[in-house]
Amino acid sequence: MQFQSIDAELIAIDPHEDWSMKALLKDSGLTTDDVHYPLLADPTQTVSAMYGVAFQMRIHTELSNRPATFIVDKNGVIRYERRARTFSDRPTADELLVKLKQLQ
Amino acid sequence: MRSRLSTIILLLVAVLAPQATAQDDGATEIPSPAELLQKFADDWDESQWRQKFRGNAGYMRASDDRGWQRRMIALQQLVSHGQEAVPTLRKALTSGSVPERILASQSLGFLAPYVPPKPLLDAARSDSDAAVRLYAIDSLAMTGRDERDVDWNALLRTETNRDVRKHIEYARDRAGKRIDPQVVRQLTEWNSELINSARMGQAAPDFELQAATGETVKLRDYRGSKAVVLVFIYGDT
Repeated sequence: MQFQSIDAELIAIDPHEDWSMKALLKDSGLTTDDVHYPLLADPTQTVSAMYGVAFQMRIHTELSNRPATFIVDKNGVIRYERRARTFSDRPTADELLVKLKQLQ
Repeated sequence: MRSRLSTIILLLVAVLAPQATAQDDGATEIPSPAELLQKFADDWDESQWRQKFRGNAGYMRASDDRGWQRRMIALQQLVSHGQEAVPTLRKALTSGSVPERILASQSLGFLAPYVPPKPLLDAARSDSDAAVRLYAIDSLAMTGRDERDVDWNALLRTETNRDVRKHIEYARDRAGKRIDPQVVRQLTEWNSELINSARMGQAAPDFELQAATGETVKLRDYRGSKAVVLVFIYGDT
C-alpha cells in the first residue's frame, strides 16, 4: 500500500456485523487475507455517529453511514475531513497522498 | 503561582459540583421505555420521509438531518433497559404508531435473549409499513432464528417490497447466528455525549473496534507513530 511508504495507515470502517462483513467480501470473491488494511466492524454505528457520518435512509429510514474520509495526524488530530453528500463523493488516493505529504 | 493554582481548583470544583448533585438526585437516570418511544414519535417528522428521489443523490438524507442523532440515542437507551423494555416494545409493535413500531422492531433485535420469535414474525408478515417489516426481519434474524424456527421462504413468497425481500435473504444467510453480546455492549456502553463530536483541527474521537481478522484495533495505538486515513464504507443494509 502506497500510504505505508509515508508512515500512514489506512483503516476502513464498515457498518456491518463481523459475519456479514465476511459474507460481503465472499460475495466479491475475496477473503480477509485479500484485504491489506484493518477492516473494522462498526455494526451499531457508534463510531460513525461520533464522526457525524451516521444517517438514516430516506425510504425505510434505516440507520447506516455515508461514505466519509478523515485524516488523523500522528498527534491524533483531525487534519482532513470529507463527509459524502452522494455515494460517489469521495477523494481519490492521489488527493489523500498529497494531503498526507503536506502533514509530514 | 499559588493563586493561579487555587483558581484552577475553584474552577474544577465549580465544574464538578453540579454533576455530583445531579447524580445524587438520580437525574441521570434514563427515561422509561414508554417515555422513550413517545418522545421518539413526537420528534418524528413524517414529511422528511419517503420523499420522491432520483438516483443516488436523493437517497441519502441531508447532512444537517438531526433525526439520526435522536434515533441513535433512543435506540441506545431502550436497549440499555434490557429485559425490562421488552413488554413495552412488544406492545408498541402491535399497537404503536409507525415511528414507535419502527424503533420497537429495531430495538428488539438487540434484546435477543429476551425476545420470543412470534411478535417479530407477526410484524414481519403483516405490518402495513415496509420499514417495520424490514426491521422486524433483521431483528428476528438477530435473535438467532434459523430455518427450523422461521420459514424464510414462506416470507419471501408473500413479501412484495424489493428491499424487504433483500433483508429476508440476508436473514436466511445469517443462518441462525444470534447477535454477539459484545455488539450489544458496544451500543449500551457507548458514550453518546460524543455524538457528532469529530471536528477539524481537534483530537479525533478515540475508538476500539474488532477487525475482520479478529484482533482489536484502537485508534490511539497509532498516536506518535503513524497518520491514519480513516475511511467509512457505505453499507446499504
